[in-house]
Amino acid sequence: MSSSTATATAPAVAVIGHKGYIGSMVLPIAFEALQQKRIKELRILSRKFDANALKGLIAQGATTQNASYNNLASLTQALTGIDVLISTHIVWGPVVDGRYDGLAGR
Amino acid sequence: MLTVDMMGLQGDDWKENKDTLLEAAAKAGVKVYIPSEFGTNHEITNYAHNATFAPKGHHFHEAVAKLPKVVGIYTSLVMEQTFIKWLGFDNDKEVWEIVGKGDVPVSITAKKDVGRFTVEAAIMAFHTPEKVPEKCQIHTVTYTLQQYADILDKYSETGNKLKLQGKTLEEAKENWENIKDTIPIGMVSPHH
Repeated sequence: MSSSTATATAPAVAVIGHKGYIGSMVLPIAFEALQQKRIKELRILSRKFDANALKGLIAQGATTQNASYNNLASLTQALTGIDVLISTHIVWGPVVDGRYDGLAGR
Repeated sequence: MLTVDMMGLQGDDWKENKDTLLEAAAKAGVKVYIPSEFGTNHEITNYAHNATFAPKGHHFHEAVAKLPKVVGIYTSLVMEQTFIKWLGFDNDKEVWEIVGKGDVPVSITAKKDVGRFTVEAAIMAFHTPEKVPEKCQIHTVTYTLQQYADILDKYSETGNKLKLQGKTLEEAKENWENIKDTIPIGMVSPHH
């Protein structure tokens, strides 16, 4: 497969939590795939715009997008055009009297 | 120092935020979602309802209901942070406190394999979703704890062999019952 063909059919990938423990394992490999054009876009979602922190990611070819994680419109916009979403955010809670209490309806 | 990544998705806001994420992903037309599973698939352990792990399972099922393709990736322990004092492996004292005799196979996954499998599964699930299972259990190596100890003994700077001190499963369960309420929600591992 030629690189142009690969790019045309390659997915756009977004990563949430790139600075976390798992995110730091995923990101270098995602950049490899981007350079190989097996990913056509690598979009880093971030809650806070930190130009210095994001500069290095952009220099490697990533795009960045600010998003408020509790705002549907903001998140929807940030994910528009994305084929694959990788979340490395851990989920906890809610906690009632020190115990998890959130399985109602499951 | 023990730290955990809890950015914005913990406590009372977690469900609202995670539901918002799924709704946004569905609206935006995301085809493949890889949630933050990793670690152990606690739906097949005795800890499915543990405060730390239950929300992950809940979110996974919500995602499956709302998005075209969801891939949960389960890595067991990460190799680089398995044989550490926090988990009973005291390499300074050359003593490992374990459950059992160390003769049961234990799978672990190296950091690089976590990253590589995640990205490859993401790409494959986009191109051929039917070929990627909803839950993927991966590992880099599987040995018994005695075999891991034997391997590390080869590189021992003191020339001593690691001593494995085994508790019975009953003793380990009793210990867990005694300490589990003292472990903060979300404290699943030290990061460094």
